[in-house]
Amino acid sequence: MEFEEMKKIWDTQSNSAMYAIDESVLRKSISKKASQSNRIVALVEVVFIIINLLVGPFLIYDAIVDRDHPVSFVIAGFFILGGIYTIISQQRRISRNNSFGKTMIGELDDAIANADYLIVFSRKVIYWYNIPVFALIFMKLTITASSGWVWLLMLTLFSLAFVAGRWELNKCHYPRKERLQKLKAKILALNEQQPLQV
Amino acid sequence: MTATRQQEIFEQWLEEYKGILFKIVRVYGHDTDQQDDLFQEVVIQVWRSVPKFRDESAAATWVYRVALNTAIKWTTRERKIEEQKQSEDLKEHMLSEKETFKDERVTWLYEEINKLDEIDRSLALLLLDGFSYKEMADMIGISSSNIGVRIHRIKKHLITQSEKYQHHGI
Repeated sequence: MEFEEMKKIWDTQSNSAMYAIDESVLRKSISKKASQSNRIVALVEVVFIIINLLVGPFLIYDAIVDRDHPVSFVIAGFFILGGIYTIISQQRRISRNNSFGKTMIGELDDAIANADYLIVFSRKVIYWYNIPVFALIFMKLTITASSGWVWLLMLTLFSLAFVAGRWELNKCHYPRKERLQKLKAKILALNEQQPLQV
Repeated sequence: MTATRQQEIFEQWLEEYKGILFKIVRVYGHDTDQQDDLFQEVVIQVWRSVPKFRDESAAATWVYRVALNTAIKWTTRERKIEEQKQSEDLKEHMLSEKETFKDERVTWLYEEINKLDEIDRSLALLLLDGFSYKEMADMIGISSSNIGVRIHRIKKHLITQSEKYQHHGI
């Protein structure tokens, strides 16, 4: 079969007859996504913002009421600043993602930059946030001579946070970045082929 | 652009160009679940792209470009991660295949295109839909002469496969 014949077969498709669209699901899907920024919203970002902006003010209130050691205010400040920093970073990432009409390579570059951002963010949370916060918490537990159960609870939370962060890095962000880079490499490999002599 | 205007343009594009979206999801989604998930992702991206559209290109080319770029970055792994965030009760299907769509030759063409890698699938689609080498090169971001080499191989592959298809009298 010559290619021209294949093209004629292709053109016989009545494309509108291929599928039926459920309009109500379509409308629901769009209105749901309208306020979201991006399909791939890092779980770490969302959970991080919520936890920090809830816990921080609560800790300040608790520290004032109980007239706690000053380290409690430092811990609370850490939570609040962490939440605010994440919101700002997220907004920057969102504005960078709202680009359309680029070439395939251009969009892949954007997607790779986004994957890089999520990797850097996740690593910052694991190593530059979790560890100092829990160090301050353990300092406070020492100062206040907290019970063994509180220590056990904090150690468990720290371990869970560490494992969850590493899981997201290794199962989501690194593989995604790798796949996007491979796709880009395949496209760039097209450039290395010998042009046709016409 | 107001939300109302964005919705109007989106609905107009969906009505006029849904054939383009159907072809792309059929090529990049291997089963009906994947095609449905990919279609949902594609329509969201097309909807989001409406305010960014300028009249520098035809709307059909714009929609094609957005849909193709979405499909090429989409993976089943990401679909699974999204599904974990939804309960099964909330999972609704946007697409349902019509029984009237049953041309064996077209089905065979889609099957052959599905066997190509992600980049070749996009080139095969663009080629069959009549885009020039220059338009393809502009969409992808490489030179049109290098596009030609790959296109030549894709054509040769499809022609070879078509001989087996015709030989078996399907």
